[in-house]
Amino acid sequence: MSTGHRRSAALGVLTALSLALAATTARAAGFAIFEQGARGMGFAGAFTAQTTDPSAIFHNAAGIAFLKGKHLYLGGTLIHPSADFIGAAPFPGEGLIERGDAGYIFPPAVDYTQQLSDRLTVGIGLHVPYGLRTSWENRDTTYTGRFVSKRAELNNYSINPTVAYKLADRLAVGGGLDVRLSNVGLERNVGIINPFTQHVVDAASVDLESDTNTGIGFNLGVVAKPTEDLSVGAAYRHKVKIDFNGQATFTLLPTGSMQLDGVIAQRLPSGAVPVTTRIEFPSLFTVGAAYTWNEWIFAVDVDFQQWSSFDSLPLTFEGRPDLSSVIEESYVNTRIYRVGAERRINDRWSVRGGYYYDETPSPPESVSPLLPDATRHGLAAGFSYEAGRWRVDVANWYLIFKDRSTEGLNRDNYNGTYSSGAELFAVSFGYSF
Amino acid sequence: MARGRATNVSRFAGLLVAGAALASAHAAQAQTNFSVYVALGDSLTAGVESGSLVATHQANSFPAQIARAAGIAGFEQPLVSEPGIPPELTLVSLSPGPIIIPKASTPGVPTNLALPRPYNNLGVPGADSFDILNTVTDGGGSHDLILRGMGTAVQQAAALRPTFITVWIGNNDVLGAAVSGRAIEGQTLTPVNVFRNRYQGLVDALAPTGAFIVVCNIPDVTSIPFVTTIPPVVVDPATRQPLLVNGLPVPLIGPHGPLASNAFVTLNASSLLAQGIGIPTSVGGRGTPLPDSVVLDADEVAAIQDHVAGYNQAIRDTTGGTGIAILDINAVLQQFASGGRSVGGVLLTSDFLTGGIFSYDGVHPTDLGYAVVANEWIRVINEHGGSLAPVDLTPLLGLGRGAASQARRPSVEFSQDAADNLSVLFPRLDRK
Repeated sequence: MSTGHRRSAALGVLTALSLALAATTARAAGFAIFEQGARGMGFAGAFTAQTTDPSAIFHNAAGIAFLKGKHLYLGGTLIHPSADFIGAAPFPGEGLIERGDAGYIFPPAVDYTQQLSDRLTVGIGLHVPYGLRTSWENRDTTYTGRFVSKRAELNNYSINPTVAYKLADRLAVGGGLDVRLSNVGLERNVGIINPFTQHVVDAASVDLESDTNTGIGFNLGVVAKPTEDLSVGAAYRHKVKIDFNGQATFTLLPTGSMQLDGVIAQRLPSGAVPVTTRIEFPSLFTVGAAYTWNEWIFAVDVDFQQWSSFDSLPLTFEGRPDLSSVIEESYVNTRIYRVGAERRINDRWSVRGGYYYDETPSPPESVSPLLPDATRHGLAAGFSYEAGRWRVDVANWYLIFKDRSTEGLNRDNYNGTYSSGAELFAVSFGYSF
Repeated sequence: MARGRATNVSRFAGLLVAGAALASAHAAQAQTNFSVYVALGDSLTAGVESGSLVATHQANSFPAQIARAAGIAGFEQPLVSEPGIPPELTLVSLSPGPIIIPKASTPGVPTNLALPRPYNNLGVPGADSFDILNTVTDGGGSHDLILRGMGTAVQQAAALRPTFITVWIGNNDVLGAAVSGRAIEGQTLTPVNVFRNRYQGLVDALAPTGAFIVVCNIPDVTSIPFVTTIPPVVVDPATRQPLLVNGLPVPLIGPHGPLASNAFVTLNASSLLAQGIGIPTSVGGRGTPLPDSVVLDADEVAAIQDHVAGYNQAIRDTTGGTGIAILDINAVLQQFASGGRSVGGVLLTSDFLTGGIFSYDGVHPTDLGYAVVANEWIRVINEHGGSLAPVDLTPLLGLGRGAASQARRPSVEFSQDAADNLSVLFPRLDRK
């Protein structure tokens, strides 16, 4: 090609001063939460076949049929997620380090059950079956992933009225209505090429906050006790689709060039734009068994999580198709394997421990700053103290995440390896009326 | 695209190449030996950017970036001092319309002329499939600047006894048609069969070097911003959107009447449009037509694309079975031209000024564009036994640590008046 063409004239017209707003990713990931009661957590979540406390409303609706009288069980889990990222070339560069600063999350769990007759028990629970918070240090200034996601938050509450019925002394079925209240928040910067410097400049910050929207599902369960010592259970929780409405607030950032600021102001909205999105929370099928042997209880569960329902995340900006996008997620179905054991020390004290293995549903293309999901090992430990009508359960989970590389495949070409971890501390109080 | 054609083509070129090849008969035993790297090609290999060959951008020519990735010492280029030859174009204002002018009136000077051997980067701006094998001098043009009377580009490449060669030639066999707005077989377009014979000759001349050779095919030059930026309709300067009259866009006036919606208007039309040429009187223009030289109609675009397809088939055919690897840069450019590629959430496209890939001349890449191109070469190299790390795009995007304050640094701005004054004060130096 020749160096010959030189231009000194004004380019009188130019329409193609398009701003690449491309709706990059807002993607969620393996954001299920199983922290629904400290006793069950002591078993590493292997609780589907156990019928000993009201958290069965989450684990297996049929379980509450075996609870006599009235029971209240309430508590919460303090979650401290951590994530470090080490970059790869060509972007954001070999060895570049970014650190997460998601802080703490505290999902509550509250359950109440009441026996209405020998065979019929009802209950209601409040749980947080899904949730997500990711956020990165220096997210407004130097964080290299800020054009993908600098903060993401998903809250998902389940209000779960439940009824269970004993078909026989050792066989019960149950079901519930799963009313979900949920909101989502996504924040990122819009990066464009500054025509003067040919470097990226932050043109705007976009803060998408949904209203609290509702979806409805259901859950079913069965528990059988073939012998005095053996209990088996199966539970199903249907997928729940939630349509979110909200606002995306654009805050234009000064680029250092008034002319460029003017062009950006022509192209980007300033202020709030109505936006909609949709998430289909996956269905969950669980089977498990529990065996009592002297002072011991042994439990095992397998969860089948149908993450394939989470195949894309559409972000639709009302009246602005140029800003709208559909983000491919392509999650795959996964299994979680759980084992746990409890040993009763005396009338008041018992201790327990467990392990689970949780496969990631996220293909490497979808591993991103929004949720750097990874396969994880969970180590559980806990104890209980009982006194008359009261009980206190305490559990600690330590999660070991496998290092997760994007394998050079991330959809936004933001590649590297995430090293995540999480520590969880749960306390639940039980009271029997 | 005026380009001196060599007159003293050496009849001995082939013999010289063959001799050098015999001397370096270390066959393709080491596909990943990068110890002596030679880049053959045109301005895209030389690292021309914003209409200029200048050291600040030559440092990021794609061969220089490959050489750095491979840890090659002594990769020599025909460096030119600021502001480059010819002086580099720069953007001085965006509003009301972008103003692009040379950053200075006096060109830079070559600073590496005394190198007593051929350059490793033998990319010659303006060279085509004929020149690479035949042209030694061009009367003070870019061949003389880079070849320095030491033989043709291919002869000099062989003389360096390379272990690794990249070749990207053929762009100028078709680009002249796009830039001149005229697609004429045998004049602005090299006939496909002629191209095929020349490429066969190139493959035959390079094979005896025993080097690991990667060649690059030809991008569809009708998808570069020089061609795609200006729509064939009148644009409202206030909104930068097509002007609508009775709900319909207003076609520009071409040499044969109103332009069809599938016609292209090149960047060379911009100064004419600014004077009202090509714009109907009904919307405030002069009503006079744009010349043929700034318009590509659908037939011309089709002819250009047919030639690109023919050249790329010829490149596949002539390199088939030789062990030469091919980079399909045409497919890469198509991705940037149709939707773009996200890098860390920033969309890079073929758009002029804001796409990040093409420089202010609308034809040649930016430093970032050359890095993207280098990574495509590296991808192909690694598919054939290499293990080079990709080029880090982060500093070229202006991101990474410590870059935030720099990104917020105010850009230099000239008002349009200031720019107009400049262009009056410093009349353009026409290239010889």
